[in-house]
Amino acid sequence: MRRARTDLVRTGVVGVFLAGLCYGLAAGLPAYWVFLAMSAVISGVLLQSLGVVAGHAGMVSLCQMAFAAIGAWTTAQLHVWGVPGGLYVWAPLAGLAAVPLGLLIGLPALRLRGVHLAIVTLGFAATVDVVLAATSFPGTDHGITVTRPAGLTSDRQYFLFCCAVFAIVGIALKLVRGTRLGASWRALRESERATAAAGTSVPGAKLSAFAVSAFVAGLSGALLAGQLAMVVSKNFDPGQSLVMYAVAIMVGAHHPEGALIGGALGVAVAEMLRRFGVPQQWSNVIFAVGAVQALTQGAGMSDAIRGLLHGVARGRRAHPATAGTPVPVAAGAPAEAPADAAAPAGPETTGGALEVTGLTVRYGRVTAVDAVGLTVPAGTVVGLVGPNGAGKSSLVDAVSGFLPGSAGTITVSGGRVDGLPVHRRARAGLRRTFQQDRVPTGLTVREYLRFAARRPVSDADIAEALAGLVEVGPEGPISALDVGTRRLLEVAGALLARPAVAVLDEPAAGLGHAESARLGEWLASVPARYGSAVLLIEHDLDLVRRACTRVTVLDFGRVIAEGPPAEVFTRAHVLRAYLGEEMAA
Amino acid sequence: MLQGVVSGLAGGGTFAALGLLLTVMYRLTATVNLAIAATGVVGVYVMALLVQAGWPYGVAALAGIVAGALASVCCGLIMTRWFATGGPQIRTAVSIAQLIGLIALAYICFGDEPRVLPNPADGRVATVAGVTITMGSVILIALAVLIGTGIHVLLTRTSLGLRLRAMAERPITTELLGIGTRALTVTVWGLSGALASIVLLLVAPVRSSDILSLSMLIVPACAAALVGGLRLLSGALLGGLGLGLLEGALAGSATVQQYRDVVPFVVILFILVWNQRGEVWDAAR
Repeated sequence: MRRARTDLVRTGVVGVFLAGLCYGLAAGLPAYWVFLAMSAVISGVLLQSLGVVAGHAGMVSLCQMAFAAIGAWTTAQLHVWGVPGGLYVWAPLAGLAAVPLGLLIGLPALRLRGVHLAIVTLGFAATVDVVLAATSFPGTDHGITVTRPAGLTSDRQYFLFCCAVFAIVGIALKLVRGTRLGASWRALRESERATAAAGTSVPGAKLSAFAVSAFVAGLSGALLAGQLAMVVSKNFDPGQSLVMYAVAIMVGAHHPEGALIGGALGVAVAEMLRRFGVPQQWSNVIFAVGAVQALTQGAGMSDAIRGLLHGVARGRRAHPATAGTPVPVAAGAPAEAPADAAAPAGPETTGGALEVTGLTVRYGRVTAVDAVGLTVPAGTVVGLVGPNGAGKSSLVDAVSGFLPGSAGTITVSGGRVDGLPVHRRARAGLRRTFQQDRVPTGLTVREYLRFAARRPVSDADIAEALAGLVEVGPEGPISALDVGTRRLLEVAGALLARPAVAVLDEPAAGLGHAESARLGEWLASVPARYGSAVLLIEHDLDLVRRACTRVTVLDFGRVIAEGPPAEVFTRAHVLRAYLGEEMAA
Repeated sequence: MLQGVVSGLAGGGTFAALGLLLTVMYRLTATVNLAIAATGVVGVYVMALLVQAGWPYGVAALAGIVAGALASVCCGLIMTRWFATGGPQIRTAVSIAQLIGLIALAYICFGDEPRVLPNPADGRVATVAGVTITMGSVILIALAVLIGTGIHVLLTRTSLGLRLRAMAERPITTELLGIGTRALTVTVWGLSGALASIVLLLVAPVRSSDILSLSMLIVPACAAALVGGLRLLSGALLGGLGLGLLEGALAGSATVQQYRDVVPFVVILFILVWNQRGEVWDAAR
């Protein structure tokens, strides 16, 4: 609580200082410099739009100037029509006008990634440029220029207006960053599958990122139209979109200070080159080199600065609040949780939490999973074991919705989920974790757990979810954790959502023997703690024995045994499947 | 209509040749080299400078080709030195940065006034439907076919090709077998730069001498490469030729003439969305 208040005070102080600085610059700078500073802030707004789509969501967009051009075009048109309200009204409308185009570009982005998306967005930028060059901006043919409303007529006033827009965008994006939507963008960057498995719609996350980005870029176009009064298509040529992308990478435009640095750098470098009589093109060379340099470091300037400040702050404190390298699994007794005391808070269901019947998965002519039936009763931990290639992973993928071509029925707490997309199944109470490391590294532990829980969780909930499972501080970034710890964190996140059933795909991989034993005991307590049933896929048979009341054995895509682990693991044909013909004989 | 189609031959040859180079580079170095047309521009302008300085065309062109190859080698060195293990997303971003850098450096070194470029192949071959087919278009198409078949033979019939394919598919395994992959990769970059320079030397005199618009030939070249899914050489060849003819046909009509640059974008969009319609997720599993 105290922490939140000091944060608020600090933000307030920084805000007042920055507002004062803007006012001082507007009042004190020579007119020419005010104009330059205005350009810097307007590019800063555009860079913030790139920060959303490229920085947060990790998608390539080489058409931001096209979105800005739509914004400027709309502004000019609104002016020609004489829409009342001036730029105060036109600017948001210009942003809204760019949103449909953002969504349009977002649609191919649902299937295209990396270089494909780069080519499409670059092609889109070139197309908008061609169209704009062919049809001039509204009013330019008749010499009508965009006029600023009363109160913004002087450059000094307009500079303050641009600063205010930049600040509003920055604050709004910071607020969004704290929401599930903002977390979903950053999760998307890491893994689309994990994002969907956490109950978040991937198309929704991608389209919203493009829509928000287009809106902000449209705003910057409107600001530019107000600054220059007369805009032409050359202000928005596709080459600039490319350069802006490089600048965004170089400065790390997903933080507002990065966007501001980028805008200022663009103007300052151009001005210096002009003063020294060096060709302007050198600035692009500098940005290209800067972007490559940032890529080798894996972080832009804003991240580097934040890291530096963070390091200084930590160095000043004698004892850091949270250790940088957490220890996986608490050393203490696992789960002082009420294994027999309090009733589980989760949905109490009778019958099967997860029921699978006749599940069949075919890859071409290979049948990986052959008419498998499986029941996980509510309040139990069921193991699913089998040798490599038995079809366990295919089964998990099919159950969680990643293989829409599979046949069979799947019910969660009595409701049919087969046919639903992945995120709808997750929302229906079916959560899963992955064998691969797919925890989004851009989030902190707390942000990730909130994102995964999909329900309001307090700090106490988070502490309880971590207790006995994994010892990490909620403030720490996930990027600082090792893979085994991340996997346990993923388990904690999946269960914090209190699903009807959690499918855990090899959560113990990468853990030591003692840690694995503790995990087994913790898993056994999950139904009592969270009211969730668990389907545990695991190679470590000791862990399965410890955690599971029943176990299903899969071989060549079929169920070959089912029952309590102690009994099943003594059957000859199970041993044969696991150890081979000779060993079991 | 027919006139337009004939006039689209030069463009078709260019797109096909560049699309082939993109395809082979993607197969061998796992990079879509967005700067490949820009490296060709370097070659063109070095040639132009030397011709202006009084060098004979042949020698100047050769120097231009070498310069293009060197520019490409520099890009390749950056890619292999720092981003050898980088994912496709990062390599794309690096390639974009290289494109920006090369265009800017070209403007710095060569200025931005349009130049009259000597045309080595402006002779006429024939006249079809009232349109003369120039030597240049014929050579460009022949070059595209030659590049396509040459690469195909190299990859499938020679031991060097075998090594290249091994390197592209499993770079670490190949290295463990005692084959140095970095030198090979950089060689691929260099050769691609040289070939791109030859293509641009032929097409620049008839198309444009502007650095930016020549560098942006990458957009139709990508469209051509994507017809073959960045894997099939035949797809890239046919895609490039088809795109050139389509562009030529549209150029014949005055109403769509000013929008003809939109064609590659629409083609790219449809091909990509169709090819990738099954790619619902980012990772295979």
